[in-house]
Amino acid sequence: MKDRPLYELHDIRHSYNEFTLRIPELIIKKGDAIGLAGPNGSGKSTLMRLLALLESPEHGSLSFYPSGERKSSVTMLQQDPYLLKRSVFDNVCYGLKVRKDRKNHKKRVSEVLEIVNLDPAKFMHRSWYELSGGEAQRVALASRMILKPDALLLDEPVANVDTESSYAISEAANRMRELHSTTLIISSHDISWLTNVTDTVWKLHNGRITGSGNINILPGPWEKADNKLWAYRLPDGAPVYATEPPESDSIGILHPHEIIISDRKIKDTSAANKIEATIKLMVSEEKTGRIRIEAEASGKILNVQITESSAKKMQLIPGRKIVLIFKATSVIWH
Amino acid sequence: MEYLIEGFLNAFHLLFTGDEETYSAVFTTVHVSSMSIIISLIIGLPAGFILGYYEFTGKKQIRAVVDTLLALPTVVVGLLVYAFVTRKGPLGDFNLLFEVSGIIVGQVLLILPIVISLSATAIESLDERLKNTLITLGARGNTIIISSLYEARFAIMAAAVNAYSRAISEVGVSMMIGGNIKWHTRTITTAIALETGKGQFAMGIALGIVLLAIGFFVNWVLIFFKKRA
Amino acid sequence: MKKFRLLACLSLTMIFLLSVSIISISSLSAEEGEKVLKMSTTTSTDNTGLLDVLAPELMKDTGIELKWIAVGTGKALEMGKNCDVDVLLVHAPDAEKKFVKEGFGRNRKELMYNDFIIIGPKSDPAGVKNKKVRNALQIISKKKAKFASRGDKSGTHQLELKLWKESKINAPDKEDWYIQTGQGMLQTINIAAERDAYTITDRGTYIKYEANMKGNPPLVILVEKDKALFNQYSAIEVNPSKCPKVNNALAKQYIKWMASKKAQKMIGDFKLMEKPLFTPNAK
Repeated sequence: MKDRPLYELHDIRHSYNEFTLRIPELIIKKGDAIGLAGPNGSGKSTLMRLLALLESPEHGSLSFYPSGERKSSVTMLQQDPYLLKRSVFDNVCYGLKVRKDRKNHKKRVSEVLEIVNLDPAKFMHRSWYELSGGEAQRVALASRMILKPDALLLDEPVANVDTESSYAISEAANRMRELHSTTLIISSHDISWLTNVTDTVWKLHNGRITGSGNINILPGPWEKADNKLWAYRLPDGAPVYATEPPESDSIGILHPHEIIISDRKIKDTSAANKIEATIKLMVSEEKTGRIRIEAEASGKILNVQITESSAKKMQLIPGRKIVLIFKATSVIWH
Repeated sequence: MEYLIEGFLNAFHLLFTGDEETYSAVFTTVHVSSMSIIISLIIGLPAGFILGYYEFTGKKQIRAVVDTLLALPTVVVGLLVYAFVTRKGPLGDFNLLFEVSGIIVGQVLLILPIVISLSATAIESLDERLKNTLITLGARGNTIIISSLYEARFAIMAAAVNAYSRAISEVGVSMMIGGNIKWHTRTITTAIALETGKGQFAMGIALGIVLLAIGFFVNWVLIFFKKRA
Repeated sequence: MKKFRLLACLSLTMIFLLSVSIISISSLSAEEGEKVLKMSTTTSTDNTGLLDVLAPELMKDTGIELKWIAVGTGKALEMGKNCDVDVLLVHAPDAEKKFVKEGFGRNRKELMYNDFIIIGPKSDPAGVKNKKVRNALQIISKKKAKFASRGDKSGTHQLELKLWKESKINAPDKEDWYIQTGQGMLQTINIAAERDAYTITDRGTYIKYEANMKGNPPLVILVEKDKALFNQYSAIEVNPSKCPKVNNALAKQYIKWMASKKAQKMIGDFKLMEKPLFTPNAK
């Protein structure tokens, strides 16, 4: 029983807007911190709703194995959350009252307000209309955290929120994980913020999970090129070469570790792709000891990575022009 | 001008000395309209809730009918009810004509559409995120319904206050069904309408003052509720 | 603090509404046991205040609680036809006799009379003062002097129409100078005063009007004491064969009491603003 994952999804198909969410298999273990990244319409929110048990998948199976009662074991904080028309105190302990859990409300509310960095003395008795956007978001988060759920889902928690609140929210999420081994599932289109708060970031595109980490997505269309390879044109025209795709509109995936960074064009290489790019962003990732680089190549941002020492040796700084080198076979098909 | 001032002075005299006729009319009005609002709320709130919360065939049509009934003139309602409660009518045996109970029946018919329509709107105006929020905090079934009602409480109370104002100030039903019988079915409004014409100017003003006072109080309460909603 | 105020408001309202319901429920049960007689009468009768004086005495002597609805004569008779009342007290003899003939009422009993008068502006522009009533009406018609009518099928109105007929004048219905108010007597007098018009009224309403004007009314009595201006009041039982549910026993008792020596004396002694109004004539 202890080895059971928290969520098991098999062969899920669920339509939303004009798209269909397709997930062949997904396993989320207790204590994981998962990030879901992707543009609007990629299916993030739909997947969140399924994981929050607000909807049942049209096809396939979604199994949820909580430690306690099913209905209070997963809770979701929506984007632009709704506060009940009551005081902060009543909002936060609503979930407890529903559970008929009547002990120590005042103490528990104070504790959880402190976790989201809202001074209980000041905020406990405020009414719902006396809060700023960020404060309201934190109250909403507190009302869910107090339930000590097995899974805490946050849908775009920092999209419309001030810096102070966004910091408080990520801190609070981490505390939950530390204190109660709460599984976190967070969706956002801010990948940088997401990588700092979660262990694994899965990317979604058109309803599919295209991979984890900072992979590059090359969505096609793919055309046959003269060199027996297939090409995908980047926005400003430069081609990316790959082997024959299953279909002309297949999605190509390029992992950052397949790309070599060079400071000048290398002539003697068999790699088909030598693309010029400019470094836009460099972020050091404590967890891997590497530096994640976002480089703009012919109009598209590609994720690359490099060790700290190599970066120092090559004297890489943002704004520097580099060449990205990778083989045609590095592009794998989704 | 003198006529008016004298009327006012006499009116205050009537009010402060507790003139029986004046206070009898006040009491009848309060009695009748309070019973009407209680009954209308008991029937109308659940009906309005169902109309606002659930989807079903014919919902739009029912709503249209209810909204049309909102604007029925009081004399039309009075006339309709009279046709039913007159001795020769279908409800003639229930002894409703010229009795307070008859006025109550008529007023309920008058304000029921208000209660139903406005409370349905109150429910419909609930934020669409409310249900998901309640579910994600663990609520199910009846708890969701009760909590939703509580969230709409300000708008619902505004609906009740609105209906009460209409009941208190209507003349048509009270006149046609009540008959303005002294001590029995003489309300503030029928007294003002009919007695003033007979020369009881001071009492008309006195009653008018009381009606205005009630109206101000009721509307002050309404504003308080509307703000919160 | 705000929550407290809201709670206070709500609880006050609830207590208020609850106590009202309790009172009304208890009063409902109180009403059941009494002897209640429903009567339709006219606004001018009600205006005199006579019923307010007689009703308590009636209660004392017979235990009957009199509930009367004051409307126009036409409506009063209609209510009798509809079985909505048990007894009528009106003053339109022709209409009453028809009512009885058609079987809606029975045992019509004449009880008392007062009189009508013609009033008009103090200046008397048409010059009808002290004339006989038929003569006066002819002058008013010829001179096209403004005249206000009840126009509501009331006893007063029916008398007025009868008088026009007897004066050999066609119904003035559409004439410019003829104002049909469709309202009660006092309102009609007020309108006549506004327009400097003549009108026919019962003496009782005029006495009240005069008092309202502090003894100095713009309209004064110009024609009176003509036999044609006689205003006979009668009570009629609503026919139980047409209306099985009416309280005929109480109606009979009431009429008997009204014709009794005591009541007749009270009627004769009744004074409106210290002026006698009625002459009892029950046989």
